[in-house]
Amino acid sequence: MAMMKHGRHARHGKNGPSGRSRPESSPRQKSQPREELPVKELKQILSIPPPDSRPSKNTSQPPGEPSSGLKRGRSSQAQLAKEYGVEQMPESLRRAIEKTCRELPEEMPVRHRPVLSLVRTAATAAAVLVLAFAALLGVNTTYPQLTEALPGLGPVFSAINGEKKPPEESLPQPSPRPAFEKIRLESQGDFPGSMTVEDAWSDGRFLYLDLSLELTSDGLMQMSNFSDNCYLHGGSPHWDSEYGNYLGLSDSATLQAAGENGQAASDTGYLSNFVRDGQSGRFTASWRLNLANEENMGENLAVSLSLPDLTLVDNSQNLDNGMTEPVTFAWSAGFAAKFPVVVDTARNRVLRPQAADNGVVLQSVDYSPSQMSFQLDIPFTGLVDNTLVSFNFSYFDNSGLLGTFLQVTNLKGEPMQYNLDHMELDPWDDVLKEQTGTLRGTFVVQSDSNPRDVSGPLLLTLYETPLPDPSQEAVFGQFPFLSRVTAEFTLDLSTGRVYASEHYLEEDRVKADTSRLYSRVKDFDENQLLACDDFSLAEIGASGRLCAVFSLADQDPFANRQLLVNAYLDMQPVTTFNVTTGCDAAEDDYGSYYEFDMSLPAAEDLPCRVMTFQIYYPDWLITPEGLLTDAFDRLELVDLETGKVLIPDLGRKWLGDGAQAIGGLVGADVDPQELGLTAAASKGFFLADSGSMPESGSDAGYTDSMPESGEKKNPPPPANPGEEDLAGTDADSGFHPEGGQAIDSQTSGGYG
Amino acid sequence: MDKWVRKAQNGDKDAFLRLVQDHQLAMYRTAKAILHNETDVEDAVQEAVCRCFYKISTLRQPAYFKTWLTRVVINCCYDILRQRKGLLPLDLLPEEGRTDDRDLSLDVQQTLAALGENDRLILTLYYLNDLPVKEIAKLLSISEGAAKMRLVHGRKKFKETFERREQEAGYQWR
Repeated sequence: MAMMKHGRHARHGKNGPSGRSRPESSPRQKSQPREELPVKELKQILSIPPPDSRPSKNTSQPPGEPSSGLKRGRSSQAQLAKEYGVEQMPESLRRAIEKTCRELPEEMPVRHRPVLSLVRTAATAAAVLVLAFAALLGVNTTYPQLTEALPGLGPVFSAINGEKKPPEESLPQPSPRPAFEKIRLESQGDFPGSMTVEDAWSDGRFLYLDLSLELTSDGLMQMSNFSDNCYLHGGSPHWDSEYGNYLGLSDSATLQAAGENGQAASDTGYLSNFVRDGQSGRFTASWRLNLANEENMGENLAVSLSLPDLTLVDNSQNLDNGMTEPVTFAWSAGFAAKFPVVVDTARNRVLRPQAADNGVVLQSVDYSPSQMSFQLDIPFTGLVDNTLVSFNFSYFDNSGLLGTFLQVTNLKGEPMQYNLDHMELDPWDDVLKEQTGTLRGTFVVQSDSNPRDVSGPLLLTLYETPLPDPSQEAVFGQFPFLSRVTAEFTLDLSTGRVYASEHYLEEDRVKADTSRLYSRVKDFDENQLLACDDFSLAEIGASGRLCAVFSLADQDPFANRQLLVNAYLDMQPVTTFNVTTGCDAAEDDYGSYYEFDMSLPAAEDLPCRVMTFQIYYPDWLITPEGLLTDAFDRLELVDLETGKVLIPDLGRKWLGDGAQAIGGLVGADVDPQELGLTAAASKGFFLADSGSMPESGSDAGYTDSMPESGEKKNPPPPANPGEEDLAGTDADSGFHPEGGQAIDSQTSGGYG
Repeated sequence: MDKWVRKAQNGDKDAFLRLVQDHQLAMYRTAKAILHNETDVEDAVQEAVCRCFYKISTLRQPAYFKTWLTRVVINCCYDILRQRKGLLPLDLLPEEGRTDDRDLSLDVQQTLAALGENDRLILTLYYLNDLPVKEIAKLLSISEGAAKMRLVHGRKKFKETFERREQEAGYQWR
């Protein structure tokens, strides 16, 4: 069910376009517990206990397991397995696993246990070395020239006695890469064109090919029926034989390389799609192959490539219903070639800088044009999840450890085309268990595209929290927060110099505190509430009326609060969802609610409760076609018992708390429209049109800008004075949160 | 199980094969929860078996073999996802018997698919693979509280999807 995506639209008067009238004043809706579900098996998995039960008192659950309502059992297992289609393993997979096991070597790698005498010998040798070094240290104080002249140890004593100067002379510059003679191939199938291997090179770790396809005039004629966005894929399309649905493309292209001793690379590589080069009939692609046994490759590779199929894919064909469906056209291409490639390792180098920044030590840099490996010692400060911020799991993945998000950029801050291939952290288990210590992290980044020699210094930056994926931001909107920087290093590969730097300051970022464990205990406001988790349109539910999902952490889990969430439209409260906390779940036409107990990270002896709200649009704001006619201005949280407005604008509260937790907001003068923080339902954030935005780029994060008590900011009275105020509070107090929500700018967001 | 893990760590290939056989269904379910394509699932599971063969000797605590193996499978799945990024612009298979997905715009489909992967993975690990919340939290590098939150979230999503299907099944029979 589609929703309008751009801001508010003209109201249709009191009666919406559907002809339905805004509901007459109605008694405040009481939240009702969900009825039992009709399906017996589903009840086992999903049954919700009555509102008066307290999950924390359920002693039948193992400690640490979710509370009642999440039941396990054979029937629920079977139901879920059936739903996901994983009741049994496919026979093809079983055979594939058997084949894999047969092909594994007979000898398994074995863990060697240390022999006690070897340990003793090593310990003795270590003790002797320590004593000898201590003696030399004594000599060093009297005769430093003598110790500095010692072979091997001289530089160590030089460093101790005086400032160690980085090498000033440049490292030897490598000779130009060996030239590659282009290879033109004719199609042995029915493809109307030829292929050229434009370039091929290897640094011993990867083999890269640049390829192009040139169409004949017949081919260009065939291509004229397709859009400029079409591309060619090295494989063939597959269709569902029963329904005729398009299932996707297979890969049939293969690339293999063998070293001088015949040792082969381990896989067939990654062939990108051939994309059109402007308006010409030329398509280009790159092919990358990981050479598994780089040390055995020798100086020459024997390369063989095969491209038996090519499929043209055009995604811009529209159907009558406005959807797109790809159009494909397949050829039997029949391209194949064998040729030699010279391995050039002259640009590869290993640096051991021992550079340090903010408690992080860069131990080593292993560089080649195709791949870089960094070894860093990183202090453990907790999990990303400790920030209590999540934002559409799709592109801000809040799993992982704080301070372990690495990016390689040039000095302008433009990301290099290197992506993290894998990361190993050690000793992960021990540090996680003890909640303290230092991790030795090995980060391997590889270039996705065909890399050339790196020119100019590189910036290696470790961020405290993950950076959002730009391709996902195009779908879900810009991630509003700026991550703190754990450490930054500048690497000059031409001189071998590596040192700590502060280019992140140009982006208004701040440094993370690596001296202590991250905690948000001190961030609770005066109402003992903390915005956490999402404030977004995280789901588009079956009803299509979902407006917002948000969670609040309540520091007093035993207080049964009677809460109202008022939704405002044109400065007037139009719907109300109320709930008494302490129940597991509640739902009515205007919202739903559930809660569970949680211990705060780094403060496990201070349990709190997380309350998750979902607020719905009323029917009279939805057209019969399921389109939203208008969107709420803001959502407000009120304590029903006292009438106190606890949070006047839940969207801004989340924004402010999130900025404090993560490190700041994007941009100093944030335009809500640019961030997608409009009342538009498709993005899901709510921000009042008036009022200033939270500060960015500092630990402050959020400044309350709500009017002082007495200042004129009341909503207009209801149109019919006889109508009961849906909010249940009189207009005079609705906008005046007592005590305000100023956040102490001196708190360094989130550190315990 | 500890016995077989230790034997495998000491070089007993038959013990290793037995471990693979005992856990292959769980491996399949985990991979299927992340990857849509059966071919990719096969590739991921096979790669995980290979990695497990070469790395099992590094596992310090045999009691956590299942969790460790699940982590290996998840990493293999993510490697495949990274490789496949951008290659298949329409990699969403229509679910069997459901035609109304075509009414949803592509970005909504992506939303559902992306959310579905997270929910599906955690529900699979908890209900089908019988991993405790503590181990799931370690696997996904999140706190226990977050693991619980995701389980609750996933359960709600599953419930909505299931109820919607029930309603449609009711409509079809009219």
